[in-house]
Amino acid sequence: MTVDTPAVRFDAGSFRDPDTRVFHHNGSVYRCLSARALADWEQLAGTAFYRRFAAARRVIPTRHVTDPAALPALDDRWAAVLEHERLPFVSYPYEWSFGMLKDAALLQLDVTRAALDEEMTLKDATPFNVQWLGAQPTFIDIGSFTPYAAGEPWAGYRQFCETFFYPLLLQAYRNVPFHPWLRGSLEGITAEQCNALLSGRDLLRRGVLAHVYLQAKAQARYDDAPGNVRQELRAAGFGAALIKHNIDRLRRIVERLRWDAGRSTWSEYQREHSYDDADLRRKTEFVGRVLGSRRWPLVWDIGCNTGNYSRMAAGHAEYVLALDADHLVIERLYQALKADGPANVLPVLADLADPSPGLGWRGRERLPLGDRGRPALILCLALIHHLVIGRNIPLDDFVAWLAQFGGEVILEFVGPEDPMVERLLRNRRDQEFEYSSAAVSAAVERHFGAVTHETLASGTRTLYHCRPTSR
Amino acid sequence: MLRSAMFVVAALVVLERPAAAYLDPGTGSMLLQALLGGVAAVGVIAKLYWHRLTAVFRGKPQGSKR
Repeated sequence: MTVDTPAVRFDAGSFRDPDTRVFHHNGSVYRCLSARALADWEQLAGTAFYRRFAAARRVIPTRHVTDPAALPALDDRWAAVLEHERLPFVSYPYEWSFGMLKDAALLQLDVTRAALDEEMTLKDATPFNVQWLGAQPTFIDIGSFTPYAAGEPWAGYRQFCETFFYPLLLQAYRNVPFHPWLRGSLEGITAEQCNALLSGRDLLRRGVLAHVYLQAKAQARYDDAPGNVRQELRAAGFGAALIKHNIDRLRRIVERLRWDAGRSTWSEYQREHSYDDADLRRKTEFVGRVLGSRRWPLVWDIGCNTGNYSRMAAGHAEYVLALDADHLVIERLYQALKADGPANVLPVLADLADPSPGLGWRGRERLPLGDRGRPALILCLALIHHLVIGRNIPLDDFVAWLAQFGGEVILEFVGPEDPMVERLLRNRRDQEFEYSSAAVSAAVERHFGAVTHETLASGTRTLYHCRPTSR
Repeated sequence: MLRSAMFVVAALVVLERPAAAYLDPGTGSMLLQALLGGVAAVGVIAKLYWHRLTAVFRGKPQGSKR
């Protein structure tokens, strides 16, 4: 291998399995394999289930790189390189809605079940191995597939419970949001913790007795006990049939989990918002004009609500992130996108006053929201008052934050006399907010190069199209 | 037949490769999996207990296999 090729840029989140690591080069995604992982890949590539799942993009399409000369020089311990189809955006389970985590869980179970039918299994079972192509989940960790050794238990069972099943159970049975928990612990929720959160009555609910209560008891009793349980299980005749039975039952339980969310603060927005028809038409025209001016690689629609503008943007963009801080809003949007598309919109649960930070090893294993792809255009429609008044973010600082992505922005300013703003201010009369048309105009002029604007007929709302200085 | 033979060979190779399990599946969770295997699990659980019971009479305390 040549010595002057650039150093390998390994993905900061790809280190747990010593047999395979992901790296990035010239905008493409590669995975290097040890000799053992190469044998696993060759077996996987020969299976019918892999071809079936990859064709449907339920497993990320992958090819063996036969001419790695153009790639950076690799250490001798790597025997081969694969290239994966590039994901439009990487998101994490604490940014997904209940239905997204549930569909990711079903995919994980389906992939594992199909692998077992062809004498393979998976080394782990974490939602970080599932990513999204719009509203379709795809399994990305090709390195997780390995031959099934007769008598072995399912290695990922505990992890599946901790990172998929318990979070779903808590949301479905107790209406406890799983996001703060998964964001607070990348390892998920332990059986003991989940057991402590459920009541005695919950023991009668599907999946609780066996997978939560008994598992918590079994871990407390046996996890530190001496002895080679693997060997004992093998000698007792444990095998794939038992795992398949467990997976089939788990799948039925997950399939039937429902989150009865009712009504949230923002889920009724479309029915209650304060536009008249003429204002709405002019707003749509303004946004449509900017969207239609070019093809956008990545658009963020922040405070997307029903996703109407995300859908509009989808026709002019490679990929759209529809972000909202309301779980129910994101859940409804996900279900709508799953049913009717478009296929290039990813719903993301995000509170922009407290966006996903860097987490895990060195704080880089899971990246901050803003580090995973810069938006070429941000739609910030009727959101600014929620951050400036609702969350006390200084107006100028918020506009500076929008500008630092280096792209264009459509900003809708909702004036202090608007009924929605009045509602936010009703308990805050004692506080001074720098929240006025003049302040927002000054801020966009300060942080952007070129600004055009249009005030809607009602006079309380103004739309700004802001372009960066350098363009 | 050929497929079975290939599987045996593959299994033999695999059994020599414990390091592929980079994740600790947890002793308690592994044992629980024997309970969650449906009808096929009954025999496995019986044998598991039988092995543990007879280990006492064989004079080998649990854990001596390590």
